[in-house]
Amino acid sequence: MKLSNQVFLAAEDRLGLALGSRLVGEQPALQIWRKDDSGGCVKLKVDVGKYNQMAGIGYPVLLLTDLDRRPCCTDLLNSWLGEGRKPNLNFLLRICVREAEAWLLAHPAPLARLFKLSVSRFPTQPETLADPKAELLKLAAKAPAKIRKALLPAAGSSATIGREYNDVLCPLVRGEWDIEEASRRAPSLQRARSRIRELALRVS
Amino acid sequence: MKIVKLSLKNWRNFKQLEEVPLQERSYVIGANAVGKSNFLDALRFLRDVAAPAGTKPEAGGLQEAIKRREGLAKLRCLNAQKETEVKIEVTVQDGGDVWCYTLGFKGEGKGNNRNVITRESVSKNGNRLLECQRPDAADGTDPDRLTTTYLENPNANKAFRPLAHYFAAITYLHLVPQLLKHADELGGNRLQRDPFGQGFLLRIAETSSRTRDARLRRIQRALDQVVPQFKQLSFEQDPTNGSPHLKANFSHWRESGAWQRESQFSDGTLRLIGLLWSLMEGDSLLLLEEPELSLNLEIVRRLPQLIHLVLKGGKYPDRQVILTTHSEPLLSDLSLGTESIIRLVSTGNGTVIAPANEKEKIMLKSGFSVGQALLPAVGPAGLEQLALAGV
Repeated sequence: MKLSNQVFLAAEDRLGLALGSRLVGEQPALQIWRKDDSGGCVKLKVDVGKYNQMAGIGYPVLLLTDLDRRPCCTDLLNSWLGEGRKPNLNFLLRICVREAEAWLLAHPAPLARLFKLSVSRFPTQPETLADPKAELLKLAAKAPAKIRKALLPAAGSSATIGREYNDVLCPLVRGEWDIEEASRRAPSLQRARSRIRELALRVS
Repeated sequence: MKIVKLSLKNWRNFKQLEEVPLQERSYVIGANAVGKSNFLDALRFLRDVAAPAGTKPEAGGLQEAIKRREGLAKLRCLNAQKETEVKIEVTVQDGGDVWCYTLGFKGEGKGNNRNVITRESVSKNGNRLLECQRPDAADGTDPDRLTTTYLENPNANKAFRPLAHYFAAITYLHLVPQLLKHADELGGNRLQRDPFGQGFLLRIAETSSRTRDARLRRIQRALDQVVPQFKQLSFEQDPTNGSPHLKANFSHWRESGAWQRESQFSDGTLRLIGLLWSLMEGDSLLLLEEPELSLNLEIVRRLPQLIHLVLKGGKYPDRQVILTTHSEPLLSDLSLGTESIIRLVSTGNGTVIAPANEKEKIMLKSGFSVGQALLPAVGPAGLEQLALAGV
């Protein structure tokens, strides 16, 4: 069976898709043929067996999900795939520790420029944060009004993010955000890059 | 009878569609403005041509059907350049027989630029019916004849009358609940064949009471599952002015519940009643426009099954239904295969059919539904730019 170089990218949200696109984009041997924003992790979990099967047929899948408050990645994999089961070699189920926002915070310069804050105010080890999204929003709260309003939910709302959260952050990921720089402070990002590099080698 | 193939030339968005296979249940999908409704409209056009002549707004015939679509210029594909003929061709399965009907027409190119037939032909089981191959010798001596089709003319369609009746009975439904709820305020101006369900109550009223009660009972049984508080759906005529109404009892804390008329039903309930009634009404081809509108996700998910069960339990279980949809849940039923999906994609040269590609077939093989595999590919690209541009 020939392994396709066409990658299916699935993530919880648009920010996840933007990060995934950068990851795959590093490898010229790979191409993304389809991006699916599942709107949360529930649907990803439901479809995980299908993604695994696709990868088994020779069509690689990169799935990005957040670890959130789970104790460790193994715990998430056991819960999604079944106790002790490993995903197919070409099903890259990569977990952001603890959230995609940690990867974004791992290269703080573009965010600092957007928020008009000093880089020193950003966390140096974002993967150790319990809630990276809350940290990002806390920093965004000090940003100029236009950015603040776009990123933060309205006062009193039970929403977790503002209406233009993804619209503001996704272009940042596609543009100034440096994946090399970020992976120095985000080990889970570094691991994801290695697995994708290995996939590219298998394909070519 | 059912339409098994449709070919279009220069019809609205479609410059050329060759023999699109249609199933007993076909689902037309595609991005906004790609031509889903125009695809259905080709079949509605045949119905309008074949409809019996009569007084407006029900009058049939080629000229009326073109006029109703604001003339040939609005109807012809914008990508049609040199080739001006508009052509519709359908293959119809009728038990063991296969009919093929072709109709081509264009502007005459002189005088009042009348709409004239360029060709009309009928074949049965591969044999051309010689009495209907146009233009014929008589057309040559009298060009005025080319302004009407044999299909619309009972004196000329005897050899293929069953086909003419079949076309004339095609039903289209895009029930707009507000038109029904506010019928009194909006007045009585109704479109031909009532596509938006304004006259839905009249249709119910005109049905014999026995059939009507039986259908309403079946609708009630289906609604029991989805709107459990909705009981005793029945028909009544207003005692003062005779106007037709549906009424139902909404159970609540009072023992007797509350009686409500259709103007108080929810939009979703009304659309569902309209859909169920139409399914039970006749055995002609039924065209449905986005039946998922106003319905909650779980009902939408079960619509294909609901359509199947209602037809299976009725007189015409094999009735053909073609519907347009944007809904992934509606297409999440794993019993739907790619053969039942007609995916339309816009290109620089008109809209074309995009069958499932190799990778999408792998998705289906891996257990994804046709909705998951085929729908997202039709989504609009670059919605993000809207926010950035400050729309």
